[in-house]
Amino acid sequence: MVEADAIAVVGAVSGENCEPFDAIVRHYQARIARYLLRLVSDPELALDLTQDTFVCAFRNIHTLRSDLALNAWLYRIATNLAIRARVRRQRLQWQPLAELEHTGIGASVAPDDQVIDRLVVEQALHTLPRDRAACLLLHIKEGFSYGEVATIMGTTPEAVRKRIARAKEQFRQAYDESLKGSRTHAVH
Amino acid sequence: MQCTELDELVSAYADGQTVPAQSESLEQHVASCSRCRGVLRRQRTTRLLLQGALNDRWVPPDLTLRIAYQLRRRDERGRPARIAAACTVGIAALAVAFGIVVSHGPVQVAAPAVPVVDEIQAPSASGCEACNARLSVRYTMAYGHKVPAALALEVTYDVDANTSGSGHPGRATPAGRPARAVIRSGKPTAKGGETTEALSQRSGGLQAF
Repeated sequence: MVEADAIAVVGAVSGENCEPFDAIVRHYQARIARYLLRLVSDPELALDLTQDTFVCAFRNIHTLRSDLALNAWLYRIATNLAIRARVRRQRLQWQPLAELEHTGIGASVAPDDQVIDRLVVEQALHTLPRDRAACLLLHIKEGFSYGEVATIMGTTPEAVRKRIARAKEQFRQAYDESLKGSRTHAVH
Repeated sequence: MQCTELDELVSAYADGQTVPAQSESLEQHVASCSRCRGVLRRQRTTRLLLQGALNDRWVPPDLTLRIAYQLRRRDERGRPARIAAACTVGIAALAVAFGIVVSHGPVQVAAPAVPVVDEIQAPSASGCEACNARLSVRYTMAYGHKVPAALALEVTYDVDANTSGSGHPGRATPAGRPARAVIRSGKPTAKGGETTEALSQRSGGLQAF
């Protein structure tokens, strides 16, 4: 959906008429859901938040500013919801890889390097403060520029540059440590 | 300027987010500084890690219907009532909220303020013996959604007060005035976590409309 189409659809959405909004949902739902999954590492929560994102967007679509692209606005809502949701759910999140064998997960099949890498990346990402992780994902995975990320996060491009630099460093340290630990475990 | 002060700029450079003048001066510095070359290499591999390893293959279910349903379903305050919120309410609370009304013939449930997607009907054996009234509990849940434990009950009821109309052995009330049924207890018919679709297939007791 190009931005002009999005604007037309947004214009057609009214308080009582949801149907034009379905086109927006169909177009953006998978991207938003995947982004939220990376951010919260919980598929069920990601789906709930995706749903909430679009419900919130529909209810507030009249507040969409003309200088803010629809997709950036949707990411802003999704990010805000994810940051708030994590506070409630953070105790239910990641289990260290080292504990997986005690649960039986992966006990019968040795994980290959690719799977380990993915898990370690996800785990390392999850050690970041949510706002930093959001900046990192919005830029690297969702393809937004620093300026666009700043608009989504409601901050300045300089602040985004700092957050992303710190996020990458923190991620890399956590990644290196986790990778070392998980490979040691896989060998034994 | 210390090299460590350039780390943020190196990060932005690796992301392609520096302006040409910054890129040019940084390239000159990196060409002569092994430490900053190392930082740049590390930044690039970090970027590749994040680009490559995160899950791109997860295909979320089509949420269009679920979201469209939520958009059309609002509580009285105009806020979208989430399925999850509805699921946390016990069947008794649900019944009270919806106001179960008893009348002669089939027991009726007052229409909730929100559209109803599915209906669960209790077996006729749980109906009123005197008038063969049947209890019909409607609840708002998307077809195919998991049945929450709170709703995974067979609902039975007592008519504790009145019924409207004639012929029912309850105390008389003015015609058309509903009486409230009391949800007393239940035994499980649906398993918590079972989908409404599966329940429908298993028991034939769920009707989508």
